Amino acid sequence: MTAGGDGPRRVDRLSLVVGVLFALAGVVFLLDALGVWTLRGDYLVPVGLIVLGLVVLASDWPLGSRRS
Amino acid sequence: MTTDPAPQRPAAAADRHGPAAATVLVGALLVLVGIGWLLDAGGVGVPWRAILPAALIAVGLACAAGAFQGRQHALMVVGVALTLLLSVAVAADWNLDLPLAGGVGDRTARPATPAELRRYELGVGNLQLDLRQLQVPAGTTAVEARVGIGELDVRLPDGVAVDVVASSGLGQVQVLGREEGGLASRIETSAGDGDRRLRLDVRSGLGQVRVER
Repeated sequence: MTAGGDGPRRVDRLSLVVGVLFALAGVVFLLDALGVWTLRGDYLVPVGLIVLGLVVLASDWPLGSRRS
Repeated sequence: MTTDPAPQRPAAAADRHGPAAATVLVGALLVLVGIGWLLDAGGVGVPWRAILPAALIAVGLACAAGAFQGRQHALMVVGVALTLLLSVAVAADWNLDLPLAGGVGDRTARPATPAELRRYELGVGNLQLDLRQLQVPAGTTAVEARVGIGELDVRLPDGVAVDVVASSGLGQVQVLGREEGGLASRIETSAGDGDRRLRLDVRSGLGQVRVER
């Protein structure tokens, strides 16, 4: 319910998914900066492709409400 | 008797319950960077290399939270830019620590004795480190210099053996006739013999590094 009582508020799925991925990527980079683990440069491109694919899939995935 | 319907507020205004997530985030980041810079200038070690990942986490959380108010174009652009910057930094082995406490401008240092040596740092500008008059004692003497953005020029004394590690995140590195350029340039070399040895570790984040006799 929204504050105005005019139906459920719509969530922008792309912003939600991308935001979560940014936060996860930030954690990975932070752990690298703090020396907890070392990121390998040659892993970045394939991992980036996987993440990009997930973003594309998730941005059009049904979430909660059905499309009209 | 009829009454006119009450004027409707625009939908965007009706959904706004406070400042936009992007506004809050940018303001908070500016305040945090300012505090970090102040601490750095005051001699407190600030892990700048961890700042950008922390900023990316904050952008991600703000973007996810803002998803309930609509699409967060600005935050997504900022997040993509930060992710690309951090990815390139990892791939090219950049050192993102910027010695802000070193200040801004052009500096020249001419130490004459080992007691005058210190860790030379400059945030932005050109640093000339003239070691030609340095009285190097027997054994190994270490010298370290960092420039965040700008040129670092080192002149070595004669008659002293040297071990040099010179690097630049993005820029040209010239050491005793050898030269490299581009992303993550690095030259590691030694020259000369003798019991008096100078170990030089010099780096510029963005700019040229030159070491010559």
